[in-house]
Amino acid sequence: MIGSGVFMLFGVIARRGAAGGVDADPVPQALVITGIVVAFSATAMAVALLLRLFKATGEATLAVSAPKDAGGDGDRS
Amino acid sequence: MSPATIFDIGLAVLVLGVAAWTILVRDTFAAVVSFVVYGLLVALVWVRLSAVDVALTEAAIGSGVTGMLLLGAAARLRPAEAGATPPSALICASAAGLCTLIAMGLAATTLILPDPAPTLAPAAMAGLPASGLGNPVTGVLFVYRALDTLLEKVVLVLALVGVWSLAADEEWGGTPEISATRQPDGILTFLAQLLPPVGIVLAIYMFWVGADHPGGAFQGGALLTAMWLLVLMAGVRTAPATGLVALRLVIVAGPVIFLAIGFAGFAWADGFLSYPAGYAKPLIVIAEAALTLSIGVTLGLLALGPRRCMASAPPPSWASGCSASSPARSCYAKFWPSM
Amino acid sequence: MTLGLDLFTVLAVSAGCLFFIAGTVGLLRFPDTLTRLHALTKADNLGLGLVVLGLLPQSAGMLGALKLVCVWLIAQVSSAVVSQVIAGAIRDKGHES
Repeated sequence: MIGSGVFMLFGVIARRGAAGGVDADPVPQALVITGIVVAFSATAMAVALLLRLFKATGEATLAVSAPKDAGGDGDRS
Repeated sequence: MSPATIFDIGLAVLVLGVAAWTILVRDTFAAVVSFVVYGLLVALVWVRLSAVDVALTEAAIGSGVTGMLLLGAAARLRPAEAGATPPSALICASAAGLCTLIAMGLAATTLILPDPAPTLAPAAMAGLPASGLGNPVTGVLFVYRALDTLLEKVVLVLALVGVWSLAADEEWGGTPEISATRQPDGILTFLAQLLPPVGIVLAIYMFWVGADHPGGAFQGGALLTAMWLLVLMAGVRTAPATGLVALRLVIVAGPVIFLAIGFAGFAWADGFLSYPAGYAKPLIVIAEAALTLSIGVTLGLLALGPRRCMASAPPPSWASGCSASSPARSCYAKFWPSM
Repeated sequence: MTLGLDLFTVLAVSAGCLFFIAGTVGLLRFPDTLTRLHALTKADNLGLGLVVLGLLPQSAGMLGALKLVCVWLIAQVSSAVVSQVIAGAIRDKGHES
């Protein structure tokens, strides 16, 4: 959500840069399109990490202290 | 105050309200649904900011495919929700305060821009007729900043490799898990047989028209992803095994063709990713076509996630009870034909 | 002529918005999911149809009007299928929330 908020800031700057016959500066628009795609790949990677963490430990949050048999679990899975 | 301003203010208030609701609600499923609604409202905001290409991308990728990804994750993580404790009120309040301060600071920078604001729009429009394109955003993406687009496509492939590598070693080359059972008379099958032809035509149209009007390769590719995922969800087709050579060729076809055109720029033009005079538009269209197909497949595979089918381990006893056409059973049947 | 067309647009879009409001009130006030689905699909489809009808005079030529009608058709099909799928899921789960 923070990402899309930052993109909207880019959009406002693009809108302020209306000149030369276009209603909005195309360079920030292209940057935002690239940003949306890259943000989606980062989200997909983060979700995959989360699912793997859940599969390995059974919880969706990181434990405050490391589990005692972390070394054995890490090697096995 | 014109009606447009009233609409804008109402839209902004609505977006802020839905965003606050997304963060505050406790149930994960409700939060994901709220996030999808937020994405669609942000697409409306983009239209009001005269950035229609970005609105298409946001609606398709930012809210559509991301929503599907998060819904799948929320469904799989439901057993973990019971033990989750929300962060303390102090952490929440300080995070909210910090975010608000930074947001106000960034908003202030947009307000202190001089009038007229510094812009590259005239420079972008000036070079556009030489490339044969009519849409300045496509021009920026494929002519002025083509390197960014190439690297972005490579980032997508790298993210896919990263997502695949998060499965266990014996699952490499297996099939992503889709919990779908085929119901030949079901209503979802009806939609999966009715909508994809329309969707594919629309995707090709969006990619083709992106040269002169809002559209482009990413938007068309995202629509292809949506149609493919619909077909997979309905069980009309099974998900491809990630070890298939044909699948991997399709995934890298886009960046490889774009890279080849880039390197050929040394031969027939000034340097990397420069186009010869008069041939810019056909080359860009070829690159965009390959990119659309690649993006469609890559985004879909990213949304499906890492694999579940274990190629080398024997199937668990419950798998023999699966219906004959379920993807899990067909995946196991590939490696354990005795099933 | 354009004044008549504009008036028709305003009336049709307002009627469509009224139906949307009615559907939303149904979403908020009806007791369970199946009745809410009913309110949503019936009222929203009709509301969308009226809005599209009202926007037809404002569209850019025949092609633009055809695109609007296509949008309405696709929205109809997908909302019908989605409501059927949700209702089927509720029936399979055996409880209503």
